[in-house]
Formats: sequence, C-alpha cells, structure tokens
Amino acid sequence: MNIFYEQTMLIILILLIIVMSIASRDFLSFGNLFNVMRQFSVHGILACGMTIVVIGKGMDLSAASILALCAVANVLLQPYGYAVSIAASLAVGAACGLLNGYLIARVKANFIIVTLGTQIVFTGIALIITRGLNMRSRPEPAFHWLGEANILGIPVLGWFLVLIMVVSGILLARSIAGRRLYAVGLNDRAARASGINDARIVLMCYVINGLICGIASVLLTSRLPRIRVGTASDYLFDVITIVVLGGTALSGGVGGIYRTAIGLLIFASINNGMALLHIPFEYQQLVKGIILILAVLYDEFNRRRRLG
Amino acid sequence: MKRNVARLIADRKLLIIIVVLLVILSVADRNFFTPRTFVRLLDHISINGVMAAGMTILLISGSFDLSIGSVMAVTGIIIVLTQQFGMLASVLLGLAAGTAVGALNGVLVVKGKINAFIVTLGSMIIFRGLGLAITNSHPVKGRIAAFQVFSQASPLGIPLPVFYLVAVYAVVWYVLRYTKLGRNDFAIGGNTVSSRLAGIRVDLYTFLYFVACSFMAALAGVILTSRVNTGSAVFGDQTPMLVIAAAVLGGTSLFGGKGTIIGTIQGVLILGLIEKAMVIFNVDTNYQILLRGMIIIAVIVTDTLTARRREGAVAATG
Repeated sequence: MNIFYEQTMLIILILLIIVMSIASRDFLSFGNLFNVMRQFSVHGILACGMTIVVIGKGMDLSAASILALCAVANVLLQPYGYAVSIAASLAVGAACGLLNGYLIARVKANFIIVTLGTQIVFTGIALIITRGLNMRSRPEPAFHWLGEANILGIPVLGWFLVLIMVVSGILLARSIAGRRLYAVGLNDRAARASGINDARIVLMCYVINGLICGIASVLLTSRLPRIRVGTASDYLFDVITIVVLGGTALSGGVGGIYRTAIGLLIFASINNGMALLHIPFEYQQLVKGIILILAVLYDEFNRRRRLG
Repeated sequence: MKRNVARLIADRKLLIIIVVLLVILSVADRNFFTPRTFVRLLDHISINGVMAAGMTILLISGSFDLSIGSVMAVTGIIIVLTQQFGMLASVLLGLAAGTAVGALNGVLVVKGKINAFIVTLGSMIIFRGLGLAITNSHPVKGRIAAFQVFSQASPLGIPLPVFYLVAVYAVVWYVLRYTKLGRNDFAIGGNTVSSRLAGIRVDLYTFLYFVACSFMAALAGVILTSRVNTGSAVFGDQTPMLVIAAAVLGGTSLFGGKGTIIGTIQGVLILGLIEKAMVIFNVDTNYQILLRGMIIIAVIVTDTLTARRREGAVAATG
C-alpha cells in the first residue's frame, strides 16, 4: 500500500502513456519523442533549479524573467563568439540569482514579493535592451548545432537535460550542502541550532537557480530561430507545475530531481497529447491551470499523510 | 525637540512624499496644478484604489490575494457577454462571478488549509485561462453604450469613479475602526492562535476577508469595463503587485495585524503620482516597467527592515 502512495505519480505517468498511445498513433513514434525532448528540455532544466529552491522552502517567480534576460545577453554577445556569449548568460543568471538570494536570505524579505518584484525588474531590463522587439536568436553557427544536432541519434538538447538532471540530482542527494538544504527546508530554526549557516544555504539555492536559468537560456536561444522577451515568460507556471506535480513539497524539505523528472514526463505527455489531438490553445491553457491546482491539492494531501 | 521633529517627519512621511511629488510635477508642467488635474488623477487611481482597499483588509488579517487581476478581467468579460439580459443584470452577474472567485479562494485556504499564495496563484492562472477560453483570446466589445455612464458621467464636474472611491474608503474605514469585522481583522493578523483561543471564529472571518477583497476587485472590474466598454482576459496582469505595493507603502504590513486605510490611499496616490510623473517626463514604457519593479522591491525591503527593527526593539525592552 505504501509503495502505491509513494509511486502515485509514476503510476499516473504509465497510465497516461498507455492512454495517449491508444488515442494517437504518433505518440510513441521516435520522431515525436525526440520532438518532445527538444520542446521540453528547457522546461526540464529550469525545473531542476526550481526544485532546489522549493526544497529550501522558497520559490523563484522571477525564473522566467532571468531566462529572458540571459537569453538577451546571449544573443547580443554572440558576435564575440559562442564562448563569450555563453559565459555572459551564465554570469547574468548568477547575478540575478545573487540579487534574489541576497534580498531573501540576508535582508529576510518575503520571497514571493521579492521574486515578483525582481520579475518585473528583469523583464523591464530585457525589454529596454530589446525595445520589446523580436531578436534573431542565433547568428552564431555553433548554436544551430546545439539546437538541432543529434549525438548517438538523440538530440543534443536531450543530452543536456539528462546531464543537468544527473548533476543536480547528485548535488541534492549526495553532497553535504544538499543534505543541509533538506534540513533547512524542513526546519530552518533546528538547522540553525545545529550549526548550519541557513542563510548561506538559501542564498546558494537562488544563485544556483539563476545559473541554471542561464544554462537554459543558451538552449532556448539555440532551439528557436527568433525570440521575444514574452517567449520566456510563459515558462514560469509550467515549471512550477512540473515541480509540484512531481511531488516536491511546497512546504519545503521534501522532494528531489527524480520526482521532478516524473513531473516533467507527465507534463510533457499531457501537453504533447493535447497538441496531437488538436485541442485549441485556449483550452490547453485552461487544462494547464487545472493540472496545477490538482498538483497543489496532491501536495497538500501528501503533507497531511506525512504528518500522519 | 529634535526627537519630536524626527517623529513628526516619520509619521507624516507619506504626506511629505506626496507634497514633494506634487511640487516636482507642478514645476515640470505649468498646467499641472489645477483642480481639474486632481479630479482626473483621482479618476485615474480609482481602479487600483478600490482594489487596494480590499487588499488592505486581507493583508491586515495576514493573507493576500494574487488573483485580483484575473478577477477584474473575468468580471469585465462576464459583464460584456451577458449584456443581452439587460445592463443591471449583467453588472450584478459580473460582480457575483468575481466575488465567487474570492469565496473559492477563501474555502480552499480555510477548509483546504492550503497556503494563500498557492491558492490565489492557481486561481489567477485558472480564471485568466477561463477568460481566454470563453473569449477565444480576443477582446470582446460591449453592446450597451449606456453602460459607459457608470464611469463617464460626472455629476458636479466630478467623475463617478471618484465617488465610488470615496464611498469605498469611507465604508472600509468605518468597518475597520468601529465594527467587530474590523477588530477581528487586526486580532487574527496579529496572532491567529490567540484569536482562536479568545473565541474568534478565525475560519469564518478569514473567508469573509477573501470575499471582501474579491468583491472590491470585481467592483474595479465594473469601473474598468465601463470605461472601455470592452472585456479582455489580459487586463490587469501586473495589478496584484502594484496594489500590494500601494498597501505596503501605506504602512500595511505583509506580516499581518497592522495597517490603515488612510495609509493605503496615500500609497495609491504616491504610485499614481509617480505614474503621472513618468508620463510628464516622457519616460519610455519599458523604463516605466523597470521603475515599477524597483519601487516594489524598495517598498518590501523597507517594510522588512522596519518590522525587524521593531522586533529588535521589543526584544530589547521586553
């Protein structure tokens, strides 16, 4: 019985895959699977960063805006070579994360209002730089390769997704900082009393999340021929849904990358399924909203079960 | 003496900011300092002002609501789409639909025991999605031109929205100061557990505060829709942040238990004057967005630091 509760989402995923593959013959084709992998690699990478922040009992509502700002930095600096532009994306991402982390961990301001505020600030800066216009996103040929090539038959974007997931998974589950993060998320006072510098751990969460947004921005610009600041802002709710759907608790201290991976697969299957079944865009949005609410109710149900 | 002056300045800092902004604007624009401009300014801030009054009630009780922008949008869409049943019916239906969102939020927070932030974030997405779905992502135009009277008639030369604004603030001021509903608001926000032990029906009242907040947002939706005679699902996507910022700027604490409606209207006025200044100084729209975000961050940081200093002072004396 216990294993049934623990693996609810895995069971839902398997059922979903069975239903979708009956409903649409294309669902399990390799072509479609690789498409899905390309389409949702950015979601998956962002979800890893968000998972880390949520385990630390926080949330980053500016993640999509950091993504946008990093993408703008990346595109602007591509004329100086791909190394410079990638480094710039990562640096911008880390700097944005540092600002969030400083305000939340050191000033101790409410994380929701802080990240909603920085969301507006980062979007504003990105809009000022681009004047709100579309940008050709990959003048530098290296990015075409990143966005479109395959290694061993699997898209490069997919490899990146797996790499980020494995690294962040190991960081969370096996490193000392990772274990401390769980302690801080579960009970920050107890963690502080046992000698953990909780402010530093929380600060690091936001910096790592910013860095991961920077990495995701490189993949975003290499996947799409054109981007707008608005393109990136759609990611926020999707990413939160994926993390919560997987079962990482919003109350902090519980969860992990494995769960987020399952959340990602469920989210991707539902979205891809809706697209294959030609469901209109507006209804897809509505379904996404309902999934988020269901995921939150599931999170609450889990929390009560844990409390006994 | 020196301390008295310092306290006087601290107590009146919002008024001082307002006066400074007025002076700057009057110097920058010769035609600014006229009664007409003030009336137009009040007319302009009426939508955010009405919502900020509702948000203040909710913030004092220690909760908050991110869905008010969606409530405003959905109210407008319902009004426009139901105008075939008559104008009055459509307005009532719109108000009812908007208020129902607050009831749903309240039930989920009180009975479901889910974090207010998550509940209202979810309902913000769902109802915006619902709005997009029923309008096919296009703005819908109203058929009854007379509906625009609600916002455009101006008896005594003062537009109706200004009357709404004054009425709402008068009612909320009275409720917060002289009624059980208002006193319980401060009690629950100050300390939920002791309020419950003292016999206050915390769940019922919290539910009512959510309903009140959504009702005000729906009212703002009526004003907005009547002004443009159009409903759209994209209206009000930055509104929740600005409204929360206005209330917090006015001295309402995000941590609950503290706040005044007089402070809130001053906060709304300051944000309105800043918007006005950005227009007068011809600030690019994108810079306006940046500035708005920076104001929100500055306000929250100040609020946090003040709360911490107060805590420190209490710890030192107690």
